[in-house]
Amino acid sequence: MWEYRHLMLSMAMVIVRARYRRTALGMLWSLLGPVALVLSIGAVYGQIIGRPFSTFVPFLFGGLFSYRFITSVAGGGCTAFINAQGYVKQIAVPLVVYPGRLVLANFIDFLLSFGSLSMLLFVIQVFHPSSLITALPGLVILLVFGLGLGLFQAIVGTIFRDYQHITSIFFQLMFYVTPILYPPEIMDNFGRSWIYLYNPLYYVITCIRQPFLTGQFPPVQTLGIAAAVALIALGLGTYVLGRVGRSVVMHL
Amino acid sequence: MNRIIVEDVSLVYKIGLDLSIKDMALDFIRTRKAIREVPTIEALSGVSLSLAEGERLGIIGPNGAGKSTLLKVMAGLLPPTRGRVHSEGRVSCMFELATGFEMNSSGWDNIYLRGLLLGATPAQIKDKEPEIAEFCDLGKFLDLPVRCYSSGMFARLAFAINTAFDPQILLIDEVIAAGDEKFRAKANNRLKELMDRAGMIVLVSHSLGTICDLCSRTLWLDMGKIVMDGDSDAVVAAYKEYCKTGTLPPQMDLESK
Repeated sequence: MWEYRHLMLSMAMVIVRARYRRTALGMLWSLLGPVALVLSIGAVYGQIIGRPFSTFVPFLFGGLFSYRFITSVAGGGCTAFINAQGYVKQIAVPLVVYPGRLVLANFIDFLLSFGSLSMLLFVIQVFHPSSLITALPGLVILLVFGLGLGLFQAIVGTIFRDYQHITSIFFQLMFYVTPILYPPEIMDNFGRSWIYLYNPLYYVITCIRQPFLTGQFPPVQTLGIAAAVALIALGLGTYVLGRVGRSVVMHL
Repeated sequence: MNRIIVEDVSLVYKIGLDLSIKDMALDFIRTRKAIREVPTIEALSGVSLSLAEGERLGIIGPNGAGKSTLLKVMAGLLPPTRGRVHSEGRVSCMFELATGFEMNSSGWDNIYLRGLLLGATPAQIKDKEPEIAEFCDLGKFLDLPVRCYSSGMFARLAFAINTAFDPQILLIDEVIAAGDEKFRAKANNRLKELMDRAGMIVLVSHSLGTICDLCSRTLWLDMGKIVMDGDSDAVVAAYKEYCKTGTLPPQMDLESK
């Protein structure tokens, strides 16, 4: 994969740029969009839930942006090969490149959102500079998880076209099951802690969110589980890709 | 050392039916058979050949003979259902010329991307950029997004890029036909030039003249089987005879299994 880093990066940039094609502000929207979102949702929703802006915002968006990355990869992954038919059918580049570019494009977008969130937190003086370092393991875990998920989705989504729709429903459901809009403690109060404790996404997201909330590393146990989840996803994705391989072309 | 060895390769396309559960249920009510058979097409059956350094192979045959499929199998783009393909050397393909571009990116960006896809490094691409631009002769069009290009322009750009990086093995499917007369002559020249540089070329074409002109060896394919494999002039003559009179050459029985 390293050999194709230039290719994947430039193909990813094509996707990122395409998003802002013909806009006057271009990629600046990647920074502005999240700020507008944070301000509006943060202000309104924070009022309803009755939690202070300064703790609620990093909590909500640390989770929301990570989750958005995961769903974009899961959804877009399903059509990664289908959209790249023109390449897949005539160029003998390893197949991993196509889901790879998608994951990378979404990760770039994610980093931009996170950058703008950090700046906003800095402005309202709740930014922990140490989070730039303590969030690193979480970022790596998220990227690895995304790559595994992307590979899996791309293969399965090409062979079973219904899968795309199943995915979108599944992740809609998971959005409410995973503690993103609400703190996990709410589940504890209901005695339903297992709902998030058995949710792999919870651990992955926490590894990103925690550093932004406290500036500290997430607990070792959380990191460990999240890393295991990411590696299992990568293993599963690689396995499916290796198993199906080039014959996925027959389903295009 | 560049070479391709195709060993007893068969390839069966399973035709994916656009069948929903609703259709299946209706089917079941009508015919009482649970599952309809999946139609298959045997595009190649038991094809064997081996290509060595410097060879220029032409592939001819009627539509649906399996020519393009054979090319894709050689390129490693399609996995054979049975048999094996072994290839050494960097393969570059020219199949569907208007696809495999980023429609909203400029010609220049597409040169860069396509170059990377062909396995060139960024530095090599920068090196070759002027040469590619000069060869495809698209001038200011290179600054425009390629969605504005005509099909001939796509063909020129794709051809220029695909031949720029000294491919060791070049697989071409009926592409020189696109582009205008002037470009076609230029493309033919470049192909000859490339072949002189000791690569390996496989060319699928319906233009028997081009085949005789460019290839020393020709493969006649029909119904996924090799009908004849040998010296271009002899194979093309036999093929022409067959198309006119419908009689197969006498040696066909020897060659086909």
